[in-house]
Amino acid sequence: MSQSAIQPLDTMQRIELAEGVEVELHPAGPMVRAVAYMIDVLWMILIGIALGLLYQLMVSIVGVRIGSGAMSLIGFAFYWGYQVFFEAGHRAATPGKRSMGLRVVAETGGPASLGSIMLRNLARVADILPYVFIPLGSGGSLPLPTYFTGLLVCLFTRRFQRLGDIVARTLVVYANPMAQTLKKTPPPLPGTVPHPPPVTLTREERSAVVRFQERSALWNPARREELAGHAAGLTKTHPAESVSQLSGMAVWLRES
Amino acid sequence: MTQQAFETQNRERWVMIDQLTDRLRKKRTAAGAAEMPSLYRQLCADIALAQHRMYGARLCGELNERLIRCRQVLANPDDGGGRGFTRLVLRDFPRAVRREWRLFWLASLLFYGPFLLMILASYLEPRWIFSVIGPEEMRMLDGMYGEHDATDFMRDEFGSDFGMFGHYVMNNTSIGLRMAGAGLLAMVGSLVAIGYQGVVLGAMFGYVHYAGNPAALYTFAASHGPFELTGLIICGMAGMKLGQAVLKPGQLSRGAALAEAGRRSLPLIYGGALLIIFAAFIEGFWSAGPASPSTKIAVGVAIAILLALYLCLCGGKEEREA
Repeated sequence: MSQSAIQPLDTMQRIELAEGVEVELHPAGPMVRAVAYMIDVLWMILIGIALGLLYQLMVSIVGVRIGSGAMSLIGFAFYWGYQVFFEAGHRAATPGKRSMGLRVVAETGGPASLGSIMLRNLARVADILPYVFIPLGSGGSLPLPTYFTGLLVCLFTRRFQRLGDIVARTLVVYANPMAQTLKKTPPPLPGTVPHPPPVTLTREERSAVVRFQERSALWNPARREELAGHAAGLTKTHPAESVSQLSGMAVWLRES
Repeated sequence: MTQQAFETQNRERWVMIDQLTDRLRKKRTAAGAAEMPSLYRQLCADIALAQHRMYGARLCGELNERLIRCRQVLANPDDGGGRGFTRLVLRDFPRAVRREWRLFWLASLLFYGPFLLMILASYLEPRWIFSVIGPEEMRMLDGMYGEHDATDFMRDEFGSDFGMFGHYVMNNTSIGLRMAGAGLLAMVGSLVAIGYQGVVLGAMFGYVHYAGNPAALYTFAASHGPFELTGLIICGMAGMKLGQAVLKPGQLSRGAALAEAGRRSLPLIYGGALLIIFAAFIEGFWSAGPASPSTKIAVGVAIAILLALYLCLCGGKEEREA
């Protein structure tokens, strides 16, 4: 198998650091980001209501003029600063992103600078376009952002970047990609006999075999057999036995 | 070496790194901060070994996550703070405006062109005014610059200056920031917004000339006008810079051109927003104040000259970038 032919069907990004090692980033897709955004919208509505109450309180204490001036300033800071404040913090995520396990990083995998975070959130102005206008009863209408531009750009970039991410060189990644998969190597399935593979394997092939064994506990037996069936050329048996054959090779590879 | 042995050999150090990372995340100067760089380099060596020896997805993934967490606390992207602000005001912002002088003049033309045309048109044919501004705005303009001199319109109550200041900050700065962001759509957003602002402002001036007391308007607008309009134009120009990268990326890929334009337009956006906020300050606390009209006009002229000098000279010559 020629190596150039294998294009991993994967969103994982390998990034080489100045230290000479590669790290992996796992960019988050538009679906999970949309959910995070909806959570943020809910938070913003809640905070908006709280600010409304605060306004009433201020007006009753310091009067309409100063109250409305202060509220304009607070509203301005809140409108443009909510996302920036949280993304520039040490968690690098708005409450919505945090609850979906996401964070904002620079394209290099390092933390994003304050400037980048400003830019990516400023560009939201363009990303949320176009608006649809929901007609209200009293002749007015409610402008509702569709985020269509952002979605479209997201789907056409390899790393799910919306316009703001491209301009600011940032990515939204899963903070703990391992949390969803596995924290411990599962014990070998019963009846596994460690044995060397019948032919010399390339690095990628060895890695595939080892990963198969590591993840096999996450699948049901039928799925395990189906996947092991793809390696029939290596195991030379029918799928049911392929599983234990492959596991045996994996254990041998890992321990040698 | 087997994976098992590798793990048991290094596990203790990894746990230590995790604890140190957590502490440093909360407090940058936590005890042991000085050891972080060397621990980080050891971790880099570990991950390189683990990847080379094919130690499997679990261990490599775990080390990968640890390395990224480490890097987040180790790298210091700090570009804010007092020093960053001073550098922006004294150097980066005026330099950025001068570097994009073509865009600055283009944006100015796009604003002042429709503005002056609209004033001229409404002088020749007042009906032009009514195609742009409605009865609501007219009533407001009548109140502010009507035949009776009323620069203290809405200012009679205690604290009104602060109220107006907040109002101007929210409205005008938001307009500026939107202009900048909207430029990403191949400039269209910025161009439309700049021209639109010019037309509306022109119609308002035209209306005051037609139905009100222009002197009141000019004494009111003289002091903050230069800052506010220049701030808006610079925000629009930042947006045009972004849009330019989409339309004409040159030798770069579009993504790279956009990122480069983002870097270049950031000081413009910051600076433009600062100008607008500063204008709101003047507008709120000085423009409608008790000073005599001639003082206000004089201050306005002085401010305009100072602003021009600042944008033309401050920050000195640029070192050539590689």
